[in-house]
Amino acid sequence: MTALDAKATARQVGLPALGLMALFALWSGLSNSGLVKPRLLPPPERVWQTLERSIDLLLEQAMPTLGAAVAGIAAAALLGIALGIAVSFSHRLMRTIYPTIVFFQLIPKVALAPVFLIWFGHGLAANIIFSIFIAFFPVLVATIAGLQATPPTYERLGQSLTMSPLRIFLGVKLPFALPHIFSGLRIGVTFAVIGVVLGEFITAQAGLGYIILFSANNFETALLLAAIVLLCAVGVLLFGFFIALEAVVLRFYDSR
Amino acid sequence: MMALAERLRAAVLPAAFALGLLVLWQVLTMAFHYPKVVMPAPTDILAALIDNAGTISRQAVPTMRDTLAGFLLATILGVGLASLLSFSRTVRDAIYPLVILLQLVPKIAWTPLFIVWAGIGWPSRLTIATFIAFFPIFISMMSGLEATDRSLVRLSTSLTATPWRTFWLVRLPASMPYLFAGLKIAATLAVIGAIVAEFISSSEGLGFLIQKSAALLQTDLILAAIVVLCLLGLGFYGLVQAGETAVRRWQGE
Repeated sequence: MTALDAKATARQVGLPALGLMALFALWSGLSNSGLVKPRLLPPPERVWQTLERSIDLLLEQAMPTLGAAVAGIAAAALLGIALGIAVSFSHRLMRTIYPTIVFFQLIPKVALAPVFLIWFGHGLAANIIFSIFIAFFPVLVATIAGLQATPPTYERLGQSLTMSPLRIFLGVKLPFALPHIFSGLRIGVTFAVIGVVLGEFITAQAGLGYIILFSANNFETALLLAAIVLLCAVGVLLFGFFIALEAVVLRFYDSR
Repeated sequence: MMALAERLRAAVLPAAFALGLLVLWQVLTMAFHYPKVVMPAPTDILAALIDNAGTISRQAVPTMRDTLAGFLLATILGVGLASLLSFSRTVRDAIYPLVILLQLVPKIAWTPLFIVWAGIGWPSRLTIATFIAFFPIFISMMSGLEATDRSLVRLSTSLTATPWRTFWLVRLPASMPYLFAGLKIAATLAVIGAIVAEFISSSEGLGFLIQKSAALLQTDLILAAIVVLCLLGLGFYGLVQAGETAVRRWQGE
């Protein structure tokens, strides 16, 4: 590593760290000096203490949230990728239903949350199904877009080499589609978490969303922030899983 | 002539599919006598829409107001902050990664905190819509300003343009396609922010109407309110798209 590289790395790590420290200093200064009431914004150390003290409760409530989000993105991924592949086999079918899919992509689907609760009851099942519903569309749209991203010449080359449609799909179209599909999955996984948290806000029975809403109603802002910290951990965990999966799958394809 | 027939065919099939879905929905609910509470037929929803047209349009006003105001505020803040950061590499490197990190958090989760901070009135709903719409605008504006052709920037600097003139004449126009991509995402997100805020704590707006109707098991009214919400959302999206076309034309493309 040259001196220049080392300097660039130090900058890339050092400056954000400095920014983060400045942010915490500002936060701590605001609430410790009394400029902002600690009831509205407790100082960082109070949030940390609350996190330590209530870690058992928070972990217990993180489980339904994590579980529902995992179930939501897993089912949405299977459904979205499968339907995207099925639709892409027929050009006419795709052109017929794609505008409807785009319509669903654009409308505010979160508004439907109360309807899902009427359909599936106030419980974990409704949260999971709502989360599938929200996470499904980005995966589907990305899969369709990805499968269209193959340059036509590659497809024709495969055909003239007398490859079967299945082999063209697996060997040519899928590798081109994978980066798109993974970007859809990354959006989908954030949506899945949003779906679960929103469901927990409305049903108010269990989960980190419930804790957040409950502590807001009681002005327990420190507990609220501690729950958000844990929710971030859930989000980063799921997001990181898909980043790692993408790296593994793309390496598998590159090595062939 | 061919082109017209082709375009007609491209429009007819999707329209027929959407219409087919609606007819299927209507036939299924009528054939199986689903209770209206569980699954109202499209005609039930239309009837609820007509019967409650006054209530729905009255409740649509605060929702659209908070959405539009939040979107505008997010645009000003997002474009402004991104532009400021484009002037200093050091400040940008210190702040930008933090924003990206913050962006990973499910932003809906902050809603109750904003209600603690700003009360249950419109200020908290405006804040939430702004907060959620801010990130895509800021991030796409940043990418746009950074994606500006370096040789153009260097040319402009060597022609002794001030940093401000380089920004105004080179970087800003070049970032427009990126900005509008972000604005389109933000347009949908601002609606979502306003609705979620109304779900959690409000006594007005379409989100409130949906929640209230859910408590009263008036599923037809929920869906009628959602139809209006979708139309408003699509109209808003179309407005942003029209803005993009206008800016493109003005830029002479």
